[in-house]
Amino acid sequence: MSGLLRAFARLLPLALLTGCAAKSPALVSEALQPAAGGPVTYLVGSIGPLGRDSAYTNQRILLRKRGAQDGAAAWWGFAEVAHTPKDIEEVRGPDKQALPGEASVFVMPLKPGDYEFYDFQFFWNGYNGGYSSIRAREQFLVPMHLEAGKAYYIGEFRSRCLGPSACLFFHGDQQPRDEVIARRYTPALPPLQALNLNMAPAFPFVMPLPQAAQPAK
Amino acid sequence: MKKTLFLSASLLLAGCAGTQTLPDPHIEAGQDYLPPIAVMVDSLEHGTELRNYLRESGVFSKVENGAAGEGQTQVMVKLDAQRKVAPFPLLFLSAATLFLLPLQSDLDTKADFIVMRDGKVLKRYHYENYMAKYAWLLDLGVPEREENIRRVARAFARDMQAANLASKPLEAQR
Amino acid sequence: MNKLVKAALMAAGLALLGGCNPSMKPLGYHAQKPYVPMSLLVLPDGYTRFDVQERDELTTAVRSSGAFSFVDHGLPRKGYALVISQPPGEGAGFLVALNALTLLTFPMPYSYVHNLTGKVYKDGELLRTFSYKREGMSVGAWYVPPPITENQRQMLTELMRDVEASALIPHVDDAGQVGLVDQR
Repeated sequence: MSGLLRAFARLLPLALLTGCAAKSPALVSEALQPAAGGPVTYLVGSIGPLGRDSAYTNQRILLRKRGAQDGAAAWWGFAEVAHTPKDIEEVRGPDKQALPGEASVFVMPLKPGDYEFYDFQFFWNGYNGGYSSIRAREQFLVPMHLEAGKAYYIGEFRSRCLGPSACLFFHGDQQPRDEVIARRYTPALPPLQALNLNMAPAFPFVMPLPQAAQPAK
Repeated sequence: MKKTLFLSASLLLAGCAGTQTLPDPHIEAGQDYLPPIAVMVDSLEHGTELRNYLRESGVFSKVENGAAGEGQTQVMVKLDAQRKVAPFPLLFLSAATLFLLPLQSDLDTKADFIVMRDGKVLKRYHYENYMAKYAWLLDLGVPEREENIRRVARAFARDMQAANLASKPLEAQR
Repeated sequence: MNKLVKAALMAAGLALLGGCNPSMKPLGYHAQKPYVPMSLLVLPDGYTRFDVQERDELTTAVRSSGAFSFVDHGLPRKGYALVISQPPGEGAGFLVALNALTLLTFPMPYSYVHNLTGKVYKDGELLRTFSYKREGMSVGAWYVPPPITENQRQMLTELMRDVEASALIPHVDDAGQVGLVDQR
């Protein structure tokens, strides 16, 4: 018994430290992962909170293969054990003294085909140990066609909460900035082309970035 | 004796998967999205769920909640999804075993889809799906109930796509 | 066997008498003609069992009035909708919770304010708000049913009457809309 405890005590710091490593912000279910040596398409973008409001929590955007339940997600995490890399840290908006928002750049390798951006999620581990999340009750549909051997830039998704449960994503374009970071993660990334999606179906959960929050050029 | 009892119990409980009378509808892939539809469902519990499954089918470019605009296809759905659970005496018996005793937990769905445009009925569809399941403590049967509604939604999506593929303009019934 | 029977009877007796929250009686309003297909949204939107139960109770009460020919869930961009919510008021406070120390036997008084609001929307636009309030005093003990259920019932009855009187939502006409009237 004491031997077991000793072994556990030795393993525990190692387990904690490995858990502290940043996780990849791209989650792809097995059915959508490209086969080794098979055709691949890449979806690149960034996701994270615009400032330090209630949006400063685990959040993700959900995609699925058209007509199927197989999904993929891009997420930004902030928690003691699971978090995503702090690729972007900046202050947006007029108040330059505000705490900076953050974002992670994701590079999602997928099997080529038709995909849909259909939902999002914000989730917290409550103070009493409970778990709560916000999703769109009526989902939406933003279709995209991703071809093999290409890399597409979907945009940056920067979240903001207007009150405790009214959270949304502002959709912007930071292709030059995100491309540099994406290439650090995936050097063999094909040339990035803009996807130019019409996000109108996702209104009011996804809105264009307001002028005040545009970064200073 | 204990071993055989345990083995037979686990075998019986493992075989409690739900069955659906409606097979999973097959939808042709690679077709163009159909024009947007507005869907109203006469069900407060399953309305949003049904609309989300219609969106998931990948057939419609947009599935709106509420009334349709001019020239837009309106779908009114009468959804009758009845839960059929075991009678009370059996419920108490199962409770006495901490719900290790499996109980009947069925869902009988009958759905009428009425496709309209500008106030005129174009076509009616009817689907039925009976999901039979024995639920117990570790398997409450929630995914099977969701799958029941999902198949009804997919059946409608498949038929709408087939009607569109047949290139028959939906004519108003006279 | 005798002891067991006595214990069972006592338990049953307590269950009948004690703090079981009585479910809402039917509304004092019954619709003459149902409304055209519309949407209904009952807040709060929470997923806790208490929220779900309360939402179900309010929904059942409103539906059983026969006012809806066809009712969907949500707030659509096009079409009629009724949103029922309960703005926060006042209820049993800390002292009543402390009364649990007396097993809720001591009649601890508290004052309450119960609110109910009904909002009628058309095509996403708010047409009118109907607000109701009940205030008074009650006692937090196991032998006294809480007044909120009866207050909700009364306020819902008033709301349904006022919505009908306001003529904001059209009724299904005598001929009935094709394919939309309940044919069961």
